Amino acid sequence: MSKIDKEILEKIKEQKERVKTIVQNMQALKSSLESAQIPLKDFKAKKAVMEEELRGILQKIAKTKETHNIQPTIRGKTLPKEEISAESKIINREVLIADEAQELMYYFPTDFEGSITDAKVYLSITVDAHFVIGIDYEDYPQRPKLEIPPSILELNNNNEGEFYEKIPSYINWDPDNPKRIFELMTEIETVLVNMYSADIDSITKKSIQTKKLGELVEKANNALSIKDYDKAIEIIQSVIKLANELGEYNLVNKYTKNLNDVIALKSRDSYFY
Amino acid sequence: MPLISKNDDDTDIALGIGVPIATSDEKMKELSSRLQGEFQIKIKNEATKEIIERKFNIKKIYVMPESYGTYFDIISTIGEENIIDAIVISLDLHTEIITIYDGNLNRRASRNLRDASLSVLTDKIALALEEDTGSIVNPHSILESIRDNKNQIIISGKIVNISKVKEYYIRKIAAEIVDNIIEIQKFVPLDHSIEYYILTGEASDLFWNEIEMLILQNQLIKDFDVDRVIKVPNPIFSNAKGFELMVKRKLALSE
Repeated sequence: MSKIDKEILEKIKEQKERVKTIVQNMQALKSSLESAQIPLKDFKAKKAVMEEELRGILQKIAKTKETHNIQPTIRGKTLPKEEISAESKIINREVLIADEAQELMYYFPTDFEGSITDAKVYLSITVDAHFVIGIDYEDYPQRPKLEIPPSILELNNNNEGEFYEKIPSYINWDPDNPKRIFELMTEIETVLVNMYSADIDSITKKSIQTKKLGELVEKANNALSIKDYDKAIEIIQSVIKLANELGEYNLVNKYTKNLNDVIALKSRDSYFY
Repeated sequence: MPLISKNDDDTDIALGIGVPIATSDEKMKELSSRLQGEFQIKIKNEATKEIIERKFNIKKIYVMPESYGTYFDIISTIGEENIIDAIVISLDLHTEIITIYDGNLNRRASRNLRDASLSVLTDKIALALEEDTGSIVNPHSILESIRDNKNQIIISGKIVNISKVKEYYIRKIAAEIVDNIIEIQKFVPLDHSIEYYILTGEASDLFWNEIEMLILQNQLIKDFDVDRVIKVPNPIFSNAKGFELMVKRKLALSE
């Protein structure tokens, strides 16, 4: 038995011990409830926590056994492993790839170019934003190759890396624990939805601010027409600030000049009165 | 069952058939007698256009509860002299629990569960989705996704996450199954105790974790040993293999 095998078996043994402890604690908890030492509410809460831990450990044990191909044992005899021939390995791989293609087609409108590993996935993000993402997963479970349309890259400084940074499972792709292809595509779809809805948000915000700017200009003119210079100065200052935020630098220049004029007018009028 | 064996000489056949545990002895005998005799089949391979014609004679038929195949497969791999007292929980569209001790099936301690199975899970999830989405959801249309343990399914063109509702009903159904396991143990003689719980069937990936946890929690296994709950890795294959071995053994004994 290799050192790694020993370590794995030791790990499973520890987990089994933990299972035993949790179950014993559960029994003790039940006894506490029966002897009215704890209220039902506390019992339920504690039991739920223990159950969750137990589920987790049982899953871990099963996962470890599956990963390391550890067969069940009955009365000390281990059930034989299924022999996997080279032919079976090829078939298994084909089944794996076909399964990925089938799942992808289930969740997204998909076309294949020549092979079921070379897919074009159609994503509709908003009413106007539609994209075709190319994905090649011939080497799956190795990281698939993506083909991102230029219109998406433009929003990421024409840098593929910058876009991929937004997709954690792609950047941190683990061939030993690979994401399903449809899951990766769902993540890309979410990233695009966030990118494009964020864009819509900024457009909406800008439109509201532009409207507000127009209203402020009108108010400033009204204040000037009744020679309420203090109010006009205050409003013009708000106009300059908002125009600056919107990047309307012509308006910033224009109203800065107007502000100086109004201040001058105010000084002149105060001189005459 | 080598009905379409490449060997043309395979004309005499012994057949192993699995039936639900609720099937009466009379029905099993009737099925056995009706299927015996000579048959002729003609099959066309649509891809190659090859036509296969076979004449065969079903000489013997062994009718057994379906999940017994899995039990026999496991027994045969460790040596048939190692008969174990076990409960087989077959989790398919309908759940079946069979109890075997001293190598014999105890019908009183075995049952079909209509209200705790994959079909019930699918129906419940379909109803919950109907309430959530307002769309009519046909349980059959989501069955495959649920059987494959998917967390997302498509309803009216939209992806819906079912992980929460699935988890909720899996827990409810698993609790019902384990309640039944506890109940049937009343019919197990006092000098026997169940050594192993064998989880099989197409829906075992969905229910095993919860059932195993409840088996432990209810102290149904000695020393809280998780190895005494066996999840069969390839249920369909295991059942078929078990039936083949069982029929071969019966033939060998009768010769």
